[in-house]
Amino acid sequence: MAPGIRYNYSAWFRDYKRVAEYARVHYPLAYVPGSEHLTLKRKIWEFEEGDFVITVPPGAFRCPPAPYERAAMIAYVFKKNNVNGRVIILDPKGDIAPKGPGFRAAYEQLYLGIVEYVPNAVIKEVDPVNKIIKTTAGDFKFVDANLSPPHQAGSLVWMADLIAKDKDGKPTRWADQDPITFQAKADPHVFLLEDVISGVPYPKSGHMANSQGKIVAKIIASRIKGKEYKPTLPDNVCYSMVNGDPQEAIVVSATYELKDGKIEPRTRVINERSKALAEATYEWAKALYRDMFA
Amino acid sequence: MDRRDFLKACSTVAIASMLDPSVFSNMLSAQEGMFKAYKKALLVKEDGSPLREEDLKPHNAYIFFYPYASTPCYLIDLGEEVEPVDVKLKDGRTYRWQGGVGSKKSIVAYSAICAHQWSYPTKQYSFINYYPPDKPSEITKKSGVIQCCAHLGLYDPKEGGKVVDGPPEVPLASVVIQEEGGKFYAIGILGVDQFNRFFDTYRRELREAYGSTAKARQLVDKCVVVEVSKYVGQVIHC
Repeated sequence: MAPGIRYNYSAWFRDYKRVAEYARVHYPLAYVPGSEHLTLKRKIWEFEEGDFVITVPPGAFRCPPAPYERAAMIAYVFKKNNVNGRVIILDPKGDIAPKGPGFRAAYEQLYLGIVEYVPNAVIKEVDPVNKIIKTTAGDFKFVDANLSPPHQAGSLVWMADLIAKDKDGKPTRWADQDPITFQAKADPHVFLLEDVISGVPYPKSGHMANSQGKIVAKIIASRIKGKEYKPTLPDNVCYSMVNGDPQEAIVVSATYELKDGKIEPRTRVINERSKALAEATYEWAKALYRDMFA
Repeated sequence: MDRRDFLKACSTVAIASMLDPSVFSNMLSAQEGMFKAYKKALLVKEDGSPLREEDLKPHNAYIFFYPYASTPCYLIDLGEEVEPVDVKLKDGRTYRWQGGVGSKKSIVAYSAICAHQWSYPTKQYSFINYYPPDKPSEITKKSGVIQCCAHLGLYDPKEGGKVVDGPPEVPLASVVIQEEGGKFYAIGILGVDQFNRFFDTYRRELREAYGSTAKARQLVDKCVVVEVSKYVGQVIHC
């Protein structure tokens, strides 16, 4: 089961569904493929002036570098089109992660005065109609925005009652599964993958999903054959584009090992942007598409 | 088999091998189907003359196409003797990799198609490259490896293309090179090759490059060996 994520607008708007729908339609997140991405693209290219706000979701969310990469690319478009605009990143965390130094270098060296990074900005209130966001780091008015409420596991996991519970018995946002075999703790015949999982130090990324999918396929195939299979741990590679002309990117990779029953990450990063890494970005994506769609 | 029969068999093989080098191919093919013999192809320089050991600069990667016109391979002189090793696959199968060839037993050859998701060197880019000892990878800090920048698969050219790190499930297939009178011949592929997936995945690209997939699939009997840096427009290191 790998249904991806859904957006938790109730964290901002409680039961006010009309306001949530307004926010979703007018300021789409573009984290789930479809028309949201086209809307966001149009907004960026048609932006004329003012502040464009990006909110970083709290806690775990799909594609950790996405808000920062988007900020860089939007800033590139503003710079290219001589737009009198700013990109403001409202981040509940204290610093950019992953690839913090790489993104900060790009903002300072390529987009000075265009990108403003606001750390420790926990959202208190979002008013999509009057275009104001209130945070613990101040209030921010915007002309347009990429508003991202907290992410949570996709609806299918909730319907199947496979969401993990916290110590008070309340549902968390993510599924409850074995960290090595990905089997749902409530039902060993169900395997839960990627964005929906919890309790493991894996980023919620497409590369990870591809890697985990192969491990689970082997587990299932072994079970069908009545053979034992010792699962391996997945890996992750993540390229982020930070400049549009010339195209330049940065990269982080992680492999994992089991130490004393705990999954430990081994992370490597290149924060120095380069054209070579930008080319590698396309090959990284194309290779995954080849694997999935060939 | 008793001792007399064993000695007879050994001497038969010894004599046969002196008469016909392809007897080694047969021995290789006995390796649980891990060796596949193709056309015997002479490795030549760009001027058409046979490639000699002294033409290869140590730790400089060269590219040639074998066994098909479109399937790239790397030829590298690792500068030191490389011994034969047993290469073990995850499914338990094992094969014996021959080690290096040449007077110093330092020359190795591998398929340049990544065994993970089939990145390969083209005239525009190469994402899968050899990292010599003095130029380690910036991200993995490893040198003396063949590394693919797409997903950071690492292979050890001194150990039969064994996967050192990253997501590849199988080693790089190796090209079996035979030396005869100072000339080098490619005679087959050892290990798990990626040719079928390569041809399926890159139909359009191969049609554009070769005119047709049939031409891309033509078996070769001669391989022009060129420095990778001269063949590829941009060698991507990561």
